[in-house]
Amino acid sequence: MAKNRIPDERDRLVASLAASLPNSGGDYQVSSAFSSSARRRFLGVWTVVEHTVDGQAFVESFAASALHGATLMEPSYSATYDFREAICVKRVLVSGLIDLEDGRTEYSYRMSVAISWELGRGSLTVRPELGYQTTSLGGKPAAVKEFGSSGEKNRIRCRFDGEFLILEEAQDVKRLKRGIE
Amino acid sequence: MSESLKSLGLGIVAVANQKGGVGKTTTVIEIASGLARTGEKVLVVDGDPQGNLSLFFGAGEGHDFGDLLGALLSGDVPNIEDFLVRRVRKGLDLLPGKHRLLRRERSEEDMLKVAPAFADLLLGLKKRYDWILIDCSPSNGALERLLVRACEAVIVPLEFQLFSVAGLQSILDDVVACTAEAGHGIRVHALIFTKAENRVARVESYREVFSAFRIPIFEICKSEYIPRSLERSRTIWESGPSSFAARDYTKIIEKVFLE
Repeated sequence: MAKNRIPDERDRLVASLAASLPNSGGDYQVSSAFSSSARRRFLGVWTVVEHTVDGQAFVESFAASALHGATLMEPSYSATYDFREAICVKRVLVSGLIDLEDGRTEYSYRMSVAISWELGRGSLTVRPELGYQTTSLGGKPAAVKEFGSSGEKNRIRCRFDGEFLILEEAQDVKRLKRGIE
Repeated sequence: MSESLKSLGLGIVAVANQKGGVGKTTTVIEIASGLARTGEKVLVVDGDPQGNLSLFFGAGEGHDFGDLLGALLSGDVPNIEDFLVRRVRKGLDLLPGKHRLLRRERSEEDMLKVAPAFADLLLGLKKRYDWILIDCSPSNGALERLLVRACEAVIVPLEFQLFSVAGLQSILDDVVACTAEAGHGIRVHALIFTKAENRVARVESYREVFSAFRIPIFEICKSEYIPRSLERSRTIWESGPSSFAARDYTKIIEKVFLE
């Protein structure tokens, strides 16, 4: 029987295409006929149960950047993604205690942002549309920032691992579980 | 993220693949008519001597693309109005192609000779049209090179099969050659897999492989609406505007062209 040369030939072609296709930052969009069922898999509330940045727990990484290296004691972190048909609402709360000149005080950071999302193949293309973030010290607002859409889109790699949804953006890796923990 | 053709200022777009039957003409019909429905001014150029695009829109008895090349070859400055079929749909004009024997009538040498004048003519038409879409024929002769040289961007329709993907490689090679000849950049902007199916191993394996490429890639689902509507000279917007295929074309129009 003749050997099936198609797979070899296809691999050769793909290698050649990889060298000659331009890299213009686009991604693969599955037909809407098939993506609607895939999208349905995302719908609902997901809670972040594990979040690392460059292998480090997110809270530590957050303190290093947002608190300029100050130590966040008794840290608490919660984040949810509420995927709806056209929009996803992301909510983040980081809280703990920090030492200021006038003593130890409660610190909290909240962010809530509405994100438009599109499902690609193995990726989500997201664009923040509207949101706010607040920081409070000792229970009083210290900073409030509102933000609108900059039009900028980001691609987040996504996959399902059993009951978990894994979101990866460069070194930022989140493991989410369905429902509110 | 990838920028749209509009944001890049690229309005002359060839739809090309050297493999036949991948959906080039259908892609031109649905995208051009879809763009026109959004209020854009569109010209479609039937560069395929088979003339299927002209058959679909109704070419009439007037002059065509082959006559235009002849006029350019003789050194005339043709009045483009003499060659266009106006308003085949609202906002959509057609430069028809009816010379089925065009390749025999015009030598390869002639085609290459007239290529710069044809490119200049299309460039001049950019003042009148938001978009000029060129339906290329499935081969890699001088006619296709003339068409690709005249465009600013190329969209490649494909099927989930080896011969079609081989056609993609050929068009990429052609674009490199045409860019050198044309003296301006020609961008391979997007790929469109037509006749997409789900849960078919062959399709899945191509999806897997092409997901790694960082160029906009879209799918048009296999839909009975498309052949049925083409048979009746109707676009997907006229026969199945809420079909999945229409949604797929809408996504392409928004992401590739207008966003």
